[in-house]
Amino acid sequence: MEQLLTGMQKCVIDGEIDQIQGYVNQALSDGMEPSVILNNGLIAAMNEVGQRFESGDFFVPEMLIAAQTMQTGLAILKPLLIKADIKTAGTIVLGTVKGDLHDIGKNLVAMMLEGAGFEIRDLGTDVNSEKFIEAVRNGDADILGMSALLTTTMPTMKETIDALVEAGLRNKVKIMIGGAPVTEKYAQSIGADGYAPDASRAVSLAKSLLN
Amino acid sequence: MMKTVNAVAFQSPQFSLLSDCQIQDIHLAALEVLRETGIRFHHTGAIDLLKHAGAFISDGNLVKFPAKLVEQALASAPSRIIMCDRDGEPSVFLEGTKTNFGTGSDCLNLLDPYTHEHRKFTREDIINGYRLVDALPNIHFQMSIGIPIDIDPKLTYDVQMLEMLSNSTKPIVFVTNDLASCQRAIDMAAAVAGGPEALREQQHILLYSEPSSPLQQSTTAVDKLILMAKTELPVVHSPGPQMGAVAPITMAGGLVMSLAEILSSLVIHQFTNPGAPFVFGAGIHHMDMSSMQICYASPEFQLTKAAIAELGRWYGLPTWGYAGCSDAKVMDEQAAVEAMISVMAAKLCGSNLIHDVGYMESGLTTSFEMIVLTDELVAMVDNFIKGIEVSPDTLMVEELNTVGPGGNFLSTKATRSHFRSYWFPTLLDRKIRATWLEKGATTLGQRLNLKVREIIESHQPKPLATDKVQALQTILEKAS
Ligand code: B12
Repeated sequence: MEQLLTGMQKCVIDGEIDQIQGYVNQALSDGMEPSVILNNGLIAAMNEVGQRFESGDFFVPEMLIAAQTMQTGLAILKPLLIKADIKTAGTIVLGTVKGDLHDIGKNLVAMMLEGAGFEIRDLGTDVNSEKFIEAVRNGDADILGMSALLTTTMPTMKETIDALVEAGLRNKVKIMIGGAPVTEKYAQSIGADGYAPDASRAVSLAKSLLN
Repeated sequence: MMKTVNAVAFQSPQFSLLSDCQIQDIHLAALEVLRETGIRFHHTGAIDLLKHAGAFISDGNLVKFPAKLVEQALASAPSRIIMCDRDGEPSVFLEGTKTNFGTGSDCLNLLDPYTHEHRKFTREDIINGYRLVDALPNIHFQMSIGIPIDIDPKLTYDVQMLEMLSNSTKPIVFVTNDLASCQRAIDMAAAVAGGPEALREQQHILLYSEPSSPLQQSTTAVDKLILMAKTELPVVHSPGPQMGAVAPITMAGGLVMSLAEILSSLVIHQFTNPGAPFVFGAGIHHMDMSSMQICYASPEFQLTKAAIAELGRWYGLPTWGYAGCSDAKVMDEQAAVEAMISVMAAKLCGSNLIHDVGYMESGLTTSFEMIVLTDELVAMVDNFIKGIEVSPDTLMVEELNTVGPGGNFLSTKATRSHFRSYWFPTLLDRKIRATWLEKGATTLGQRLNLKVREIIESHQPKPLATDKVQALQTILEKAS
């Protein structure tokens, strides 16, 4: 068992995306619990990847391929986890605000969050407040994340939060925001729950918001 | 008298990156991407126009270009653009390998020259920036530099244009956020030039807009591109992709994608109004895969900008470039080193409209000291590019024969008439230690800062006529 988990972890860390489902299926047929495969196999591997990234051994592409590998393995586990009523880390709706087409940062945040086990609904770029609100109203989002890279588009963040309050939906989700012109102070001033200056910190923030 | 043979004379340092065949390979690869995958246009007007011109439309807004459209557009675009200063005097020549330097646009932060704080821009700061540009001889055009926070954000681009027109006579490269603000910027410049016709003749302003890499064109960017084509004012519609994020990871791949985007822009532009002025450009950066930041000063960035300059000349179009930028957070040794490689590369490859002077921290911050340093570096590298003149007059055979073994050249006529062709720095120090100590033992950083303050405190730009100031004010008031 231990050996299988070690192999699975190595598979995620090395980003061997074609082989991960073999490991997961093997573990299941050996009778391992889906939650054990998830926590001691896939997530444990991603924690190691995260550490290597922080210490400078790993670079972004290596981390993202590892995250995709973990997602590919998770795809097999998902139906089983739902049946067993085991929740994923949480669901996050993400988007770049109206008038803004910058999405490199938002996409990195999305991929890193996925790597940490969150479920992502990406609304893309140029997203107006109505679309954000609709996604909150009709979905099971735990967190709403908004990105803006232009000072001229930042006001949509405030608009969206105000509109959520008006629609009585503000308490349904936590809100985090980011992007180069955004600051902690701005986040507080518009009533967001948190701000993060980069993707790794966005992951810690998301985790802390749901704890 | 010496005999000469029919030899090729080199005088300045030689630099060439791509062979003719390689340039053609990149061109053909871009045409293949335009044919096979095409560009997604989020602009119905453009799609109609392109369809009419013979492009193939599928999936609603995906436009595939046959080579003939691209070649037609390349054939009608002019080879040179001459931008005049505010008084209508030609000052920035965009053609061949002529180089012109200017600031960057829209930084969020300034390194305060008095407190050294890293803080947001105010309106007063951008005015100081434009006056700095006005005063520096080797900074030839202005861009907005920063985004002031003490104004109505909706009027950001209007205020920038008003202040650039008011505080410097140098040509302007501008950015706007939508069609309406672009039109207002043009109206302001026209009011100053003496009407739309005069502005068209003087080409005092040039728009910088961008495709949305990879392989997309947004509604607002195309709106602006078409407006510029119609008004016959110059535009650079330059992709700014990051290899490894929104472009393939290799430099050749980044070039192919950017080229496909530029050529698709040129087709729209030239089919809207054949012969309208268009600058060929792309800023092809890579993402540092450890910090996730966009590199503005890497050696690779110098290579892609050189390739863009060579490609542009191959097409016979004026070109866009970058220099005086750094990834450093403060004006330190890193910033100086990076400024130098960027100026050197820009002068060697001969881009025409070289911008982003003063950019720090991947375009988030501006340093006025960096602008002053670049002014000095441009002069320094100009004198490097001048090369060595080899002629009867400079070989000095007679002079050597006259002075002879053991003599000296300090007080000869020839020395007196030639010594001034050597470059005299204004900020780099060559004094003897004793004098340097007497003069305050300053570092380059301190001297840069001092010069920034001197200019801010004493430079008086040529004032704009009061009726023109009034006209600008009226346009601004109508916008708010
Ligand atoms: C790349 C880029 C572009 C590309 C975008 C490509 C794309 N698909 O995204 C292109 C070339 C298309 C572009 C266009 C424009 N751009 Co631009 N662009 C940049 C640039 C150089 C880098 C942005 C980037 O990708 N950084 C790398 C990523 C990884 O960092 P990031 O986005 O900051 O994201 C990180 C964090 O902020 C955080 N984060 C981000 N989102 C979120 C969300 C949440 C919830 C959380 C928690 C965290 C978080 O985590 C991310 C990962 O670590 C910036 C300058 C800069 N250094 O920021 C200018 C910049 C943002 N652009 C600017 C401008 C002006 C424009 C244009 C108007 C230029 C023009 N002439 O038309 C257009 C506008 C287009 C539009 N309508 O949006 C200005 C903005 C000024 C302003 N008004 O505020 C900047 C600052 C540059 C400048 N000085 O001029 N741009």
